[in-house]
Amino acid sequence: MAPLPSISHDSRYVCKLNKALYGLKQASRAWFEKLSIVISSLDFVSNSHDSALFIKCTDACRIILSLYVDDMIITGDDIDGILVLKTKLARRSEMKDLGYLRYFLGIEVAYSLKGYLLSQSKYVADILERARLTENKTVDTPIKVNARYSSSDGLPLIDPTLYRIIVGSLIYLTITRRDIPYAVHVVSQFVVSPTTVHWAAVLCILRYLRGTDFQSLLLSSTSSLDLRAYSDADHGSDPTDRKSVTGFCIFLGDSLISWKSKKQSIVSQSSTEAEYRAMTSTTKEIVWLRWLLADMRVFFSHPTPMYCDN
Amino acid sequence: MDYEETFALVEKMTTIHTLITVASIRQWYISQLDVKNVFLNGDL
Repeated sequence: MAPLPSISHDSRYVCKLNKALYGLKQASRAWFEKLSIVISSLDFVSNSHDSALFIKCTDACRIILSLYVDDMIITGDDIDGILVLKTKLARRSEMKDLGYLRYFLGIEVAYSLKGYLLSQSKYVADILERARLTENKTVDTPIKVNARYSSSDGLPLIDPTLYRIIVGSLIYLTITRRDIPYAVHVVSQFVVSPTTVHWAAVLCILRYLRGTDFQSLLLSSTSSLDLRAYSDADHGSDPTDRKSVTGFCIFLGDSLISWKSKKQSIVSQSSTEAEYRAMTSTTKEIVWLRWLLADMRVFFSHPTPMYCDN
Repeated sequence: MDYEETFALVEKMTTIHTLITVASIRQWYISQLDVKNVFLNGDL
């Protein structure tokens, strides 16, 4: 690192860092290591299906702690245990108890009798402002039906940075907006050299968002704990590489907990093959979710139904 | 100091959705903590 200007030093020498500093590329890793040691010392075990999830099991109860950089969510059926944990954590490191879950990673959380409502409406407003979308036009769908884009469409953008910023933000927005992943996956294929046509597709998503910014994701408290999955694929829709697209959504009761829209890595020779590839990727997610849910003490006595298009 | 070791774990969003759904159905209280002084304590 470069020493501070006020420190006189011999230019042949460099400084040796002893501690992680903000802004270093190793900083986040050092931070995670440090916190996981603290959490592990309180009898929590890092979960084998998601290492940033820590679970402490006692006779009949369990406490689940999820860690996202410096944000922590704690839940479980051991209320006394959670209070003890908070006290112990506060002793080990400086913590601020924010109480009930309300705002997490830019996601607004509202609680009602029906369940938790997750929304990113403030984030949508920020994206629209950043894209300097001033007109009030709205559209009904995030992408035109059967729209096909290729990298050679249109004229290259002079400054592709804004395109990349907006697409990156839209990817983060898919956390609560399960109606845009397909459209976002389409525009994100062109971040390397975006053109005017691709930017028009991004604007279409933004206009759709403007009309629907109140939408949020309901994680229901009144439904059953049944898992079911829907899988689908198109066939060779990309005009350039003829690869197919996988799509799936998985529900826990009435709550949509997992979804994906992703181009397949291999060219499928038939629509059946494309569907099978999609079902494989859906099955992998189901298997992982069943493991994860078992650790949260949600067990299934029967296989998970997967609905597909034949 | 290892310059190559930069990977830090973050939780999958699916895990968070799943966790909130399970907590919601089981009527578990969900609380949130924020850790201060993020980068002052770690040793490399």
